[in-house]
Amino acid sequence: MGTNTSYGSMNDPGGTGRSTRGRVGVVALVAAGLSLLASPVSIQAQTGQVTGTVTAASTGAPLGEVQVFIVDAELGTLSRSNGRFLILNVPAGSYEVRAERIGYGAATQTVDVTAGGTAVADFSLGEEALGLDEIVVTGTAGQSRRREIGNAINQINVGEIPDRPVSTTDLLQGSAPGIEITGGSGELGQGKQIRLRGNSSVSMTNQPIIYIDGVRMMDGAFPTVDGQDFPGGRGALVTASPLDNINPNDIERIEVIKGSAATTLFGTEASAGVIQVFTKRGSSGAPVWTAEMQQGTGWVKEFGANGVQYLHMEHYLRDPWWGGGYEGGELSEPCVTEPDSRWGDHNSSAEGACSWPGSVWLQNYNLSVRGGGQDLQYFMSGQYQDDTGVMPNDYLEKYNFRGNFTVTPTEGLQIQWNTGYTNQWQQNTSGGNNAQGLTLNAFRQERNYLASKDPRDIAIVLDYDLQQRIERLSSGITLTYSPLSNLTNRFTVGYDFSSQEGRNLRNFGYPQFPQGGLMNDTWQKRILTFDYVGTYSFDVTDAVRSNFSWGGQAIGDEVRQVQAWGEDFPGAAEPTVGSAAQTIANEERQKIWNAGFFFQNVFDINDQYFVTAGVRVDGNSAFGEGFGLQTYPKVSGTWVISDADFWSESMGSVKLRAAYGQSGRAPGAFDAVRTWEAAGFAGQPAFVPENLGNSDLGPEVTAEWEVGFDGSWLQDRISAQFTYYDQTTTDALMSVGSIPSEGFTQSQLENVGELSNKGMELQVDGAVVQGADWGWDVGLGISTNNSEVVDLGGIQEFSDLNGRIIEGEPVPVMWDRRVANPDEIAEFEYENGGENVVIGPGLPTHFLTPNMSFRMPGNITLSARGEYRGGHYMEINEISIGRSVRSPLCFPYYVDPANSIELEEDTPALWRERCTPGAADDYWFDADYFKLRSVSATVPVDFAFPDRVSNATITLALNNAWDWYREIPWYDPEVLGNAAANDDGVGNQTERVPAPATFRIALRVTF
Amino acid sequence: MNYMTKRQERAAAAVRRLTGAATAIFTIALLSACDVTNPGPVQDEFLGDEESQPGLVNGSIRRLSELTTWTAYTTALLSREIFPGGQTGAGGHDVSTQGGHVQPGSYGGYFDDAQQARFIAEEAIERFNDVGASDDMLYQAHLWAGYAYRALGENWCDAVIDGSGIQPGSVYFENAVENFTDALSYAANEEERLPALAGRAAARVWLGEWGDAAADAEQVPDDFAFWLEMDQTGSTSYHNWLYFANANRPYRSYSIWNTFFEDYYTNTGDPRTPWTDDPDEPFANAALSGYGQIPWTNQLKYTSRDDDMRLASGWEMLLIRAEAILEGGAPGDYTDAMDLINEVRTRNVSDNDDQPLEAWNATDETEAWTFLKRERAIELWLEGRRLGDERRWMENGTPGELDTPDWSEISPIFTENPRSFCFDIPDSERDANPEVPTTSG
Repeated sequence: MGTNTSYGSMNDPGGTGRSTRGRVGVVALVAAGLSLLASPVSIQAQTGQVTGTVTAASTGAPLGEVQVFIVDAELGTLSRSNGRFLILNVPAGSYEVRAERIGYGAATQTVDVTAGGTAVADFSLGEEALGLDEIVVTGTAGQSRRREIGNAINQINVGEIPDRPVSTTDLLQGSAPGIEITGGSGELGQGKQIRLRGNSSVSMTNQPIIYIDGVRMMDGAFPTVDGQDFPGGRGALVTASPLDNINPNDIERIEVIKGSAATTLFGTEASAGVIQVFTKRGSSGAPVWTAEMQQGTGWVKEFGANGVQYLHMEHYLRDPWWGGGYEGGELSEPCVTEPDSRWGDHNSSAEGACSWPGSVWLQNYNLSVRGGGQDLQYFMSGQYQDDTGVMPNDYLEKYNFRGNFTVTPTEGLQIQWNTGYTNQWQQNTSGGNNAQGLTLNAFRQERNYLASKDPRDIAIVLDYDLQQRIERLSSGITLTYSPLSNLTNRFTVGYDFSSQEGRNLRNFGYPQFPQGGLMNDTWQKRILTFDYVGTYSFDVTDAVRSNFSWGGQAIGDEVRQVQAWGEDFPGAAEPTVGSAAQTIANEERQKIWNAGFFFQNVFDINDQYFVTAGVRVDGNSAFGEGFGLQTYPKVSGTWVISDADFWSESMGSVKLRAAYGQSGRAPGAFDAVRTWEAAGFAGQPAFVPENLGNSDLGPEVTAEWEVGFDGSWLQDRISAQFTYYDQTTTDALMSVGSIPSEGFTQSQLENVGELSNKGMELQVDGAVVQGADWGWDVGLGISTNNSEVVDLGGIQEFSDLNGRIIEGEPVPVMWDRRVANPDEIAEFEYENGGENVVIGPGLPTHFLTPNMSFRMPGNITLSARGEYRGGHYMEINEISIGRSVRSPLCFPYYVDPANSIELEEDTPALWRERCTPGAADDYWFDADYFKLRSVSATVPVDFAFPDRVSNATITLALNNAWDWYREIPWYDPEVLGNAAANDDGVGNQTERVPAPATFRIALRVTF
Repeated sequence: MNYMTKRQERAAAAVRRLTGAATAIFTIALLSACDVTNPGPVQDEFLGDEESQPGLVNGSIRRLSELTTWTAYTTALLSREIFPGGQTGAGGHDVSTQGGHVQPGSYGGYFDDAQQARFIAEEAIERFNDVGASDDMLYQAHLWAGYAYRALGENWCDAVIDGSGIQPGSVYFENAVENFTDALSYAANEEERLPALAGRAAARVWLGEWGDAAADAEQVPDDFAFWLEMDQTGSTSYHNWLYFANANRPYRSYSIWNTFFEDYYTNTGDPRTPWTDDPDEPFANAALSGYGQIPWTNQLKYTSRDDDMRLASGWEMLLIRAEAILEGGAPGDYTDAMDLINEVRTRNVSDNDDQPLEAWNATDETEAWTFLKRERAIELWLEGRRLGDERRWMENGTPGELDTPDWSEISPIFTENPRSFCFDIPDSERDANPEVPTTSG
């Protein structure tokens, strides 16, 4: 009760309680916690309460999760799923009550609260399908209203995603046209590859850069833990994504800009797009706690064929909660039923379904609180995740903490300090293309490295102990100072630290390495961000207003890696590298600085026309000494045509836009410099040629223009966003082959090429049914992406991006030998005399991302989201035919599929080629596929909780449960290669188990 | 009008200072962005230091070690010193190489290593001559340039040097002889002369300079051996791959099964060609088309990853002298040649009965050639020399039989892949060097 009194004293509407400001946050937190336990009865005599209902104006349906708060007071709540809200302990007086929710226009009402009384304020919020006055930040100088921005920008409001994803990459998957998230496989903690509008580079990464709250964070994924030059083995080949270290529950929204027309102000390194994550901030009002508990399970869908339904992996896969096992099929090995310490008595029968002991269990617990006063608002959260995966050695444990604080020490000055910390431990099963990997040896059966198909023999590789510890700290302080109403300065300093320690241990006695071997791979990345933006606004004429911005940015990016390898241990004790008889170490360090400044001006004409022009100038430590600075211009315009006099309201709201801009991609740290590798030889220094160098090397520059419109019609029941884009990358960095006989044998990057990349993006959303009790919303994203190598600058075609780089063909194009007489019962003959022929694009050229949401009485919502990709070709064959492994795909053509690879005489030529060692090239398929990303149901359960609980829902989510493939026979096309999320292309599958389907139940309570 | 409190003024002043600092930071950062030196890779100008000179020579040796360990393994397959186990990818070879054929334009990595081995040594010589260096450094650089050229000549049919057009492969040996001769001029003592003499003798064999070859060889004592270091504590790229690829760690990539040496060792116990089997591991890793799993046996010449590989020896010199006699380039007849051959042979004690190996007995010159070829095969087994020998004898049209087995009955890969006797100029050179045709042949 005492705490409540203290809290009450902070509710100082008159603003005289300045002396308490410094303690507000701490006191508020403590108060909030204890207030849960305290009874409100004793203060009811001095206070009243405010209650009411929030509904959607278009349908009359109740709206949950609306932030309702008393302006200038520190009281507020979220509406329940039935739209009801209740604000307790409001001191008697007259107040403005405000209701806000992303995607809806805010509304304010005045209420009079009497001691012991109840004031009522009902709200009806109008939907804002276009959100023309929403503030967006990414790609603009400072911040801008959406109506001012000439390029497409996707804003993903995490609160609106129904299936409560547990990873940020899951959350982004299929979320908007042009966002391509690929990957995922059976390993716990495996990251995904991220692309925006396909490829704009051949030699450099096409991974977009990522910011979190204005601070540059690690993009790409953590590297695999495998000794590049040691006999250390390949380990688990798991590449965790730093994006997935952000707790999705901490994210308010994500802004995505996809091309150079939008990313100019980010300069060098931004041509592949920018993703900016905004985490939740505190808000004025009483502490609002949100607790969530998720429990889930998973299972592997069939991925084999012809009597081998799981490619012999059924022995090692964990069941879902409800068991059932995995039925391998008639040509699979019998289940392990004899006593074996690894399986115990888990399998009751040698026939039928079997599995690895235990079940898949995915646990996720979240707790967060937000609140604060006028001068300090806070958001704090914690997450604990504990997963047991489908693979036998897979476990993952993660802690996540976040503290975001907004301080307003004086008028015109705001300090925002955001910090997130992640600590993730995971253990994985050796896998991928790894001679001591479970999947490879299981897939290859008796042709494997153990020369045995007996699951008990293969299971010895499970003694390969693979562990990773990942830590991430990302912290940034942003000072926003507005000394005048039309002058704003924003300065951000950020530090992003990523660390991965991997330990690959084969202990003493490990059968394939009897003396034991251990690799410790410690990889760290540090990114420093300095960012300043100033904006000055002034009226040029009565009708024209100018917003002039200037600023600069410096990003320091440093990677350090130390690998230590030791082998030959004295015994079976838990070793370190130091306890080995023989040790090797390797260290790599690399630092790149990029710094630039920019100017931009936005002319606002009658709040209807907007013209933006700007330029950014960059220097980069990776540029050649003779290169100098790179300039990137931009210009864009928008016309809110629906604000024009001639436009009638019945024609809806429409904004037309066009933009042109450039941004770039720098070469690697050493590409411009002629270097020798200090390689060492037999304990002595040794120098060998490394990099030829090019002092004139600069960035490749992508210029993009895009046009489009945003519109909504029929009282916002239908909305659409359309964009056509056309990118040209000039001075494209290409690996030009050095002449080996001249001594420097590595290829040298040169600014010689030209690439083209164009397509369209259309997102249409419609409310088919809009009623108070029933609602049905559907949406469809359609996008295309067509790339072309325009010019190779005179160099020969070459292989990259998991395909071939050929002038006039897509980036990349698939290229291989094809059988000319596929259906003939004859020896196979190749097209083009056996030379490789062009097959088709290596990346999808068209995408469909349908989604729907069905609302029923009680605000129960069913949602589904899927993704179709097509137009590309993939080589799908996970069986090593060249090693004479019996392939399930060839079983129909083998004389004796259980024992031999001898082919039937009437085998068609195509299959004769596919099933013959030394051939087996023509495994090319039209790779069109559809994935049902998620199906979910959200059920409000407020009724089960007292009034103090403002919102309670149960969410049931089924993810990755169903796929459709046009031609691909049996393997998930999103399984990536050995480099996994760091793979520079797709279609390079290695021996992995596809990503499991998952089922999760989440209870989320807000109070 | 609003007046700021002192606290507000302090805050505003702090922000103004921060803004000023930010401007300064960006200016400095922009100016300094172009001036970051990263550790690790060594920039070219630093190699002018005298302290760097041994490192340059070592760089050449390292590349030669990498080349030798891999070419010894690959050419052992091509020349049928070992039988392929079907293993492709890591620790193995593509199917055509296992069949005995080198795809046109392939093995660019080997070419890179070979070219770098000679380039680094020659670059070192040029730098040493510019800045001055000790005779020892110049001796080392020339010696290793000589061995690099010898390796190029023995493994590649055609020569390309420093972006030139295609030249006869003999150019490699001419350069080898020149460098060995220069090395001899810098040699400080007899011990340093021997590797250069042995290398020059082997190179002169290829040039048909039999008299000079025999003269060089005669100066080398029988028990001389010159080794190239393999190192298991360093990079895997120059540890002994003939060991590691078949050490069951985890690779069992080849077998001695079905080779000449399977029966030869069983029958003679010649300690130069030992092999063994392992009842626990009856088969190699993979399988061959048309046959299936391959019975696995393993050589015992190399028993650890750091077992060095021999570049030259006095026993090889005896065989060179014998061959010079048979070629008519040195005095004597086939019986004299056989004496030299049997001197090499009978020094060895059989693993079967601890008795010296029986001498070969030739009844004519053709038979002497057969024994010469056999004895070189045995003496130089798994040292990366056999493929070159076969090519040289084939080009010279020498008489006598080879013991190369015929495996065409075992698997179609041996009929579908016609045997190659050298590596091709790789695609990487053909694509980048305008002086070289883009396709072979």
